[in-house]
Amino acid sequence: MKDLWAGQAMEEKQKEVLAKMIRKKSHPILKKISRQLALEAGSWLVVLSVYYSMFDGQMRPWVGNGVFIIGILQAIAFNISAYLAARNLIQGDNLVSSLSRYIIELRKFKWISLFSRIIMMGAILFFFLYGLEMNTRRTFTVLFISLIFAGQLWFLQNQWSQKISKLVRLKADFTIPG
Amino acid sequence: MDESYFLQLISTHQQIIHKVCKLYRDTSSDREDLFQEIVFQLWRSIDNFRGQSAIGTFIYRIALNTAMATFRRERKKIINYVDQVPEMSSDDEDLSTAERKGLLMAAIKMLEEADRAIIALVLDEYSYREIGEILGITENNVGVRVSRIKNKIKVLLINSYGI
Repeated sequence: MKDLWAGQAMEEKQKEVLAKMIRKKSHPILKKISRQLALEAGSWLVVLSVYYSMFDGQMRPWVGNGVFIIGILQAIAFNISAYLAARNLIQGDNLVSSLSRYIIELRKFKWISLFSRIIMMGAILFFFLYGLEMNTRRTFTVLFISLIFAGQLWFLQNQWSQKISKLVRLKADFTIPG
Repeated sequence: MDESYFLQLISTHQQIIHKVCKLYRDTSSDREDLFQEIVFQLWRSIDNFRGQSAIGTFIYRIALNTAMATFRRERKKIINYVDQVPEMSSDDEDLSTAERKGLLMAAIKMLEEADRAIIALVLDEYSYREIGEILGITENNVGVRVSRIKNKIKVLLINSYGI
């Protein structure tokens, strides 16, 4: 078996190709994530720059505007910090300790992520509902929007939980004696 | 560490990264992405390498860690190699070396991710102590697992390919 394993054919990469791989700019995954991040952050910044005139920001008190702006800015800040933290895959002197620390970090990020999303959703609702006289139709609309938000939260927590439980299973595969 | 020295080290030991990519990813584009991610993570962690172990051991650890911790879309366990395997004779002497290599890799890829790491290190002739240090498990645990994994591979080769 060892001979067959040692003789596996592998292509050889030149040093110039390897050199490109350590540049963040040419990293395929980092590029994809940072592009997505820039797009998301850009879209929210556009919303922030036009909401005041488009959604009657001037007619609402400063508290409503402040909550709206902070709610969105903190979500952008969280996305950036999560993007940076997700790159810290290697966190220990061996694989199991590295996985353990990574799992702890992901669990922390899961809660921060959910909390950040709740703040953002709450801020949006607060801004649009501030001073609004409620009637049956509006109440149902708010309930419907809240349901959509809740669905998004469930989807988000589900994504995090799947990632975390995969790593927990993997760690258990190593640590539970054969 | 100096960039050119780092690149020299990676260039010399790149077979380790190729093997890990082959073990943990099914398509060539996924393997290419993982290769790049591993090199990137190595570059970020290389200053933590204090020379207490061989550089190959360090590269293996970072490569395995990166392969397992990065997320990818879960695919159904389809082993691409199967299609390339011709009708098998019960006599494995008839198989060419290339076919045997393909079968071995295919069988290893059918194992759980943890077992793949252990058997790869065993086949690359790391001692149980070194494997334990890389993975963070006891030498005894490695020993128990290795014999179990070898049995699994034998069963897989017999059941899947009739050899």
